[in-house]
Amino acid sequence: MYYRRTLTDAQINDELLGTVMTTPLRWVVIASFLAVILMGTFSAVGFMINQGLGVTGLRQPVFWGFFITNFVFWVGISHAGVMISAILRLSQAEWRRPMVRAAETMTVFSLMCSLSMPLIHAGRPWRIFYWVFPYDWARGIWPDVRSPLIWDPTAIITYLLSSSLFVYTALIPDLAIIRDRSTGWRRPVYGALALGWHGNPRQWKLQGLAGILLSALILPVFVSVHSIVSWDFGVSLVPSWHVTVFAPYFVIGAVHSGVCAVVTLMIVMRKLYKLENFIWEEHIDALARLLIVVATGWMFFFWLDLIYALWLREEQELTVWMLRMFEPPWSWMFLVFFMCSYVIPVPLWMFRRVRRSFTMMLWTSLLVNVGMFLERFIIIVPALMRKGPMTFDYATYRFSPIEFTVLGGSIALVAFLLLMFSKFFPLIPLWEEKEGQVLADSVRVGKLDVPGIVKEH
Amino acid sequence: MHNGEEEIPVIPTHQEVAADVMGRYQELGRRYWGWVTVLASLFLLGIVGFVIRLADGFDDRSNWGYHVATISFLVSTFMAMPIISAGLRLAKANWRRSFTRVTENMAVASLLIVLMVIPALAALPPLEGRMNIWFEFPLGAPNLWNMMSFGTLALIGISLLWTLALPDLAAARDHLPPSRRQRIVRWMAMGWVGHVRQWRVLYMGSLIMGAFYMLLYPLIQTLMISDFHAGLLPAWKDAILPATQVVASLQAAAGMTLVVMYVMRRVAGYDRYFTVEQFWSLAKPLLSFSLLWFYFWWASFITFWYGRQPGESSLIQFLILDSWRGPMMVSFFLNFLGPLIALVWNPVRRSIWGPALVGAGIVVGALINQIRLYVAAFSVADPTQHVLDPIPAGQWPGPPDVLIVVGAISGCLLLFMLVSKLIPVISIWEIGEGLRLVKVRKFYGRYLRVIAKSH
Repeated sequence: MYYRRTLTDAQINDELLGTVMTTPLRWVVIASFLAVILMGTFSAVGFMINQGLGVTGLRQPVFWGFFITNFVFWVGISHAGVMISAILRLSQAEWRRPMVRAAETMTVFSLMCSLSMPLIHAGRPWRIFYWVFPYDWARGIWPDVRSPLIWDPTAIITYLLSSSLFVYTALIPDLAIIRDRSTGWRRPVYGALALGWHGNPRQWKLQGLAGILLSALILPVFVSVHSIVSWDFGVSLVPSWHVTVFAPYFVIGAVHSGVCAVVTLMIVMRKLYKLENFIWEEHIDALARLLIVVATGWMFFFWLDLIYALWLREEQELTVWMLRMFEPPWSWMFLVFFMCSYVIPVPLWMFRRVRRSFTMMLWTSLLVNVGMFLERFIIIVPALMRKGPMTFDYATYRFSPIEFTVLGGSIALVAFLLLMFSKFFPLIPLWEEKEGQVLADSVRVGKLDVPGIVKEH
Repeated sequence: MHNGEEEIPVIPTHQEVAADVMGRYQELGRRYWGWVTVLASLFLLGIVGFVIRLADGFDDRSNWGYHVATISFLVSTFMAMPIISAGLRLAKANWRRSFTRVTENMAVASLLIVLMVIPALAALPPLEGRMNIWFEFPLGAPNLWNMMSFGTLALIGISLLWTLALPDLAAARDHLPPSRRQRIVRWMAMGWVGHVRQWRVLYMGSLIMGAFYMLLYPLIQTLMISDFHAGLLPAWKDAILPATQVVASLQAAAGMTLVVMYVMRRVAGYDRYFTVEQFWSLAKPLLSFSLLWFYFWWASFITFWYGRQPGESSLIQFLILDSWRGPMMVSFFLNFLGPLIALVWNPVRRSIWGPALVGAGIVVGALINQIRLYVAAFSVADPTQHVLDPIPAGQWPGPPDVLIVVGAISGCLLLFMLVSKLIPVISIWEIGEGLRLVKVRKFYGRYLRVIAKSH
């Protein structure tokens, strides 16, 4: 990477700890705005719990709608963390440094948000408690461990715990810096969280080892989570769901939407917290190039899903796809999804000027996530609308204001949690930035100094 | 090239590398001609096996199962090796430089593969009544489109090889004494003088052709698995199959690269080019591909096993649990369990013998897996059934089949040997470029390398 500006350790500390040590007015304004949206969302959910699921658009046979789409969407967003943090760490990509913590944190909060969706979707959330803790053994009712609906929370909670551990482990050196700069009640709190970190060689060695081990161990969890979510659909016999390609299709779609969410987050962070010294054009350029590969892989899986859906010429399968692609309003959604997920952004990303433009990358990354939300919606709802073989079983689905409010609220929730996190912890790892500067060097090639990295092996 | 140690690591100069590689390139010793003779003999035996099958005609499709499985194996190994080179070049992996030419040279094997596809297409039953991806627009399908696709991929692969070899062909042109070989090399060098504009065209061309190759290859696998496997098995709707084949191919190609590097080290003395760094670095993606191999297979299996649909259940019985259980288990071990157990251990991964041994196992496992898929498909008498009933038994290879498999692999290796006497098997210019981007410096008491990455 180009380290065009060499900052001292003190400068790095001052700039990255700015929002932790002080509270800018814009932070208060944005947090208040998000809090208002959240209160509205809680009210909507409370109204729904009080009145019943009938106030939503869910009707027989379409019992999975916006809430489940949202669930899948946020699980997908959570895949950014491991992609950016673990995979790029293991492949020693230097450009990952400013974005690892933001990506990992977004993973944790996205997973929390996704877990809330089935709770809301249950209609009577307290009954989930009986399902998790079957207190009355006399009834002989146990969770069905052969159901993917049991594998789901198992995988997601495992992913949540391991991601949280990942965030916390990497946060320890920075917590020690904040501890040393804090006064009053903050000092003992950060002191406790820092776990006695003093930065001696043994601690740094263990820190490095923990990073590598956690990165390697979290990878199977990362792949399994969205695969298991996909098997909620894949192992059923609903037409257009019983497809073998769903597992990798969902995973790569998750990486696609997740990395785009990281792009959005980095650009917003850069603007909000004035992080121009740390987030450069080279970073979003690298992310965009990664996205071209991921998006093209996603397109291959989408194409396989479509081709093999038509393979057997089964009537019900064809009916679902005809609904998706040719009957409004689903055909419009299909067109928007396809254009937003691939056709518009990927050709744009081929141009260096677009990849290095923060404005263009912000809009294309948002566009991708609009498209990917619609993708999940189009996978789930039309299939249920045409689930039965008889036409009198056909139904339609219209989402309600409640569901739309919950969607907006979920975005506000993740944003709010990220904002809260940034108030107490730095979103860019201080020690990673300092380490990157120490390892940076250059090699003289002819008249040019080409940036390089010190490599141990 | 060595890791950081207490003494200052010695990095060779471009001139030393060029002199060494050119020296090996110029001599055509007895050992070389011995290997060529052996491979040519095996290839001729393969032709004998093919002629025997040809004499039997195309009425009994089961006779051609091993022929098609061999094609798939060659596509999965030799034809996939340029992707290793193109992918690592895109990722700017510095450790790739000494073996990229080896993987690119394998593109010439596609000439033999394209020829082998012709009788394979003749053995296919008509499209009517059975599943296929050509839907209502057959228009020459599958023959025309398969030949065009295979031909295009072969053309791009050879063009990529030729483009990337131009600087070294020019070096060879200037080093070889006047001879017929020198005239051929001079023609192939196309007037290369190393002008700035020529280098720009080379970089851009290799990038574009490499990208096209990587995009076209999954299409080839999709056509191959759809037309020659899934389309011959009743009710086999497995959307992940092409992707599974692509991942298996990447794994097999990486394994084959490791095997070839090991053989070149031991037999041809290329140990200073194929060091621990190359084996260790390639072992990591090899482990990833092995895990992905299992993941893709499992995604397919769990969906069918869970669904319990009659058509899908009978196919699982046929391909995995009953008739072809033996090859499935062997392939499962060689392509997943074995690499996983071996490569998680640092001493094995950070060695030369470890990755090479695992690579050899993967290549064998890939061959067995392709036999399981394609011989099984070609053994089904009626692909127009709704459910596979009765379930056919497994099919052992006959003598002509063994000759075809051995002969085809030998033919590809023969082409590689022949082309390596026109195009140097080590990429001198890429290694020289890499040497310019590396320097040694002292870093906290140790001497380490600084590797530059140009943008």
